[in-house]
Amino acid sequence: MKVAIGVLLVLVFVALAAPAIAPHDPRVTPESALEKNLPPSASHLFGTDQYSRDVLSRVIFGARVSLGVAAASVLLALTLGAAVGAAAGLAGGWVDAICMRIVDAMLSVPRVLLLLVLVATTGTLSVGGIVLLLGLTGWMGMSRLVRGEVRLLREREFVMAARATGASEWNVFVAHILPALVPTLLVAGTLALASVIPLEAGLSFLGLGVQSPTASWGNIISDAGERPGDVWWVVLFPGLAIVCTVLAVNTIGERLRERADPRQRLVP
Amino acid sequence: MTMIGADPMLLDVRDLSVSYAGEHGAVRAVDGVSFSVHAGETVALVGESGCGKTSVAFALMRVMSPGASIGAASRVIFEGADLLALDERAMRDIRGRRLAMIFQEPASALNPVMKVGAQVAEVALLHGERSKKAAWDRAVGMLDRTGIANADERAHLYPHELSGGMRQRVLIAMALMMQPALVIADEPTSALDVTVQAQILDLLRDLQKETGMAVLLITHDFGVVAELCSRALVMRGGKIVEDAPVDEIFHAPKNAYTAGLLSAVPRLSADQ
Amino acid sequence: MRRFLLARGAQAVTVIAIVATLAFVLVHLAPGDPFASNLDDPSNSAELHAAQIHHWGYDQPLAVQYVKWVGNLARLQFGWSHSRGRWVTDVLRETIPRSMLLMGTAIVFGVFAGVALGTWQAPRRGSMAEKISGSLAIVTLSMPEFLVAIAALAIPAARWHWFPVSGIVNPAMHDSMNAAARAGDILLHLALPAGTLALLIAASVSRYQRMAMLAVLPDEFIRTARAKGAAEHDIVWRHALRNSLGPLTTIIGLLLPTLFSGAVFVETIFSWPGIGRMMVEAVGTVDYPLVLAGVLAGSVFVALGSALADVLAAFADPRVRIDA
Repeated sequence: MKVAIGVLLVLVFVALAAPAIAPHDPRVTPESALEKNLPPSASHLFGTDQYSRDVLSRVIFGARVSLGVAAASVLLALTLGAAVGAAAGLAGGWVDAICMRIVDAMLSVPRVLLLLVLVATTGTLSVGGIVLLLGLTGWMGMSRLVRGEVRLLREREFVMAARATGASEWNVFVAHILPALVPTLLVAGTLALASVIPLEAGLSFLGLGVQSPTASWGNIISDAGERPGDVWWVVLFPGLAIVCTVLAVNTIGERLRERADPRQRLVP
Repeated sequence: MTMIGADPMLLDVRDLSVSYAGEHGAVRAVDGVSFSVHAGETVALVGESGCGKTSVAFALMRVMSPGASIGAASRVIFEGADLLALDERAMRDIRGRRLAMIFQEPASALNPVMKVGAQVAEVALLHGERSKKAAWDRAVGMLDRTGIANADERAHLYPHELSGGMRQRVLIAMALMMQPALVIADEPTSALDVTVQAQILDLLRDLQKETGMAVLLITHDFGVVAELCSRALVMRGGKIVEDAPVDEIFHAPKNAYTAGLLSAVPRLSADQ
Repeated sequence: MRRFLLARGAQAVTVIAIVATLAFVLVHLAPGDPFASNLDDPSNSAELHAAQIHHWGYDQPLAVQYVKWVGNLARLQFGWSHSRGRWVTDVLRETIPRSMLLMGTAIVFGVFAGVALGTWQAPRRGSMAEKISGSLAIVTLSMPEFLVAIAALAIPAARWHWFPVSGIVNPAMHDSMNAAARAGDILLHLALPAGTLALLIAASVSRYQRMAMLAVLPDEFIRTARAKGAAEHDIVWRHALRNSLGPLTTIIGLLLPTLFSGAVFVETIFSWPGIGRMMVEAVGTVDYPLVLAGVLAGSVFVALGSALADVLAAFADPRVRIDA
């Protein structure tokens, strides 16, 4: 747990301080083509890619984009999920039934396919657009969680009592139900972060996500080209960054889940 | 120590201790227990729940849950060998063949996804029987001896398709398959209806007469003790507080705790 | 049981219908049209572009297009793939079996390996071997699918030349081979992509299986088996294993969306001409009918697969009572 928090803090620091730390400009191709596909050395610790760009600098700037996209899209998904889940849970009846049927249907489509359909309709995307797409395809599970929680909370004494004193439904929701949802949202958000990082990397790898020359961990790897074994450093270092982040975030998420509800210990 | 007849000593337990690793250090469930059982004898191990009876049984069989450990000074001499000093392979050879156990909860002690016949036959296969067909036939014969009607058909059923009494008969068949010298019966009737309890006790007594096995009967029920046993060990808080012939215990308990236990039992005459 | 089957079937059909509608609405509300890219070619005039749009019905009201689309779906007609110049149905007829071969092989080997690993780990809880193998499984689960595929491509295929790097057959030699050699050729090409997916499945299944075994091992009937004189090996692999497999089919059902997502990357990286790679290419060429058909095929696969898993789970365990 301590290690996980430490790893995450270092990554966030690297992302924030990227311009100060990175030894080279991640986007600019040096004029000399001699620096193409260099293995790791003192001047390029992580080597260079096929456009002679410094991989270390790209991984550092990639942290910015990858972590930023992941965090922003999870926030969006949380907001959407909480809104739909709360609406369904509070309204009940046919609103609930329709919302949950749609959620069921969307959950049964592999998320990558949902993303592919969306990318097909929008074409090449800006970073903001990717955040939007990842948010739009990530809220369903959360809405289901929130709905369940809201339905339970609605029947609890303190909520009943608040309603009995004449508070409006909206006030009851904001003052009593929403705060009680925070632990659930926190856990769901952390675990969602761990699943959205590889997803963004995958999209960018396919060339459908973050576009070069802007670096993201996924598109750095796609610059390894047709023979990734020959330029292992272009794959290994961003790959390690992804795996470390996911492991750290997952560890924190699982621990938060145990703390939020010890009975709910799930399989990793 | 009371010697009954001239039967040779079968089981001699010396200074048996069992402790469980708990959150606040080790908890001692059995604390220096010593007793013996002679061939063909029926001995009761009586006490309230939680007094350590079942821990004694599991320790004798060496089938304790993880986290339980046996004291270093403990000795369990069975048919001349110290069971606690045997390696796992030698112990496996004794379990089920010379020393068997009937469990408390017939509902959970049977494997839910195996036919009961196969579960009984497995005992024979584990102890030398080569032919699956012969093992199955022996299992059906054994089920028949425990009073299961249509044993050849019922052997094909799964545990959830049998009644509680039937399941207990299956467990007894499993325990007696290899004609063990000693059977440890851990509360064999407490999970059953009263009418079925009597049938199972009768069955145990009949089978004991037929085979000449010794029985260590673990129970909290003095009625059962009076029905079956010649000698009783009374256990409390992990220690044996009284070891005497049943007649003596019922008519003149030496220990105040035993007297207390007896007075709490609905009167059941010992000379019945 | 019959009511359960009907209810589960109805649920799967509802899901597919909603997905079809959502996907259709989404694609048709988006800006751009499927022939826009043709305009880059100077030999294509604006008139030709308009004619194409009219010919394929993209100028009709959405409602009309939707009714047509549903009617066509019922007849398994998904339209014309502009990028491939073929009927979508014909493309699917080729790609679906290839993906099924890939995913089916991966499921069989992945589940087998995962169950074996989890079963092996459970009684060794806390030991060095269990910790190391468990950590490896978790690291594998933390890797994006494409990274695992690249590793498999980079080392055993490209570096050591054990396996072909791409495709489903050897394009130069395949046609001149006899039947047995052709099958062998396909298997050789199948090994790495299926192995990659199987590894991902195995990592996931092993975690569930380990938990399931840990739940079974303290049961009383395990003690009964031990009291019979059964060896630890028999206890684990004969008594406990069979009792731990109850939730397995359900878990496989839950893994199907992940498996399909994984197949998209694996097929792309290994140039396996299945439905996942078809989707990625269709997105690149803005081939709407192909994209829609791909999403539908994906959700049909997942919906029917998980329904099948639930039904099998219900049949496999006579103790399960279904209240449907």
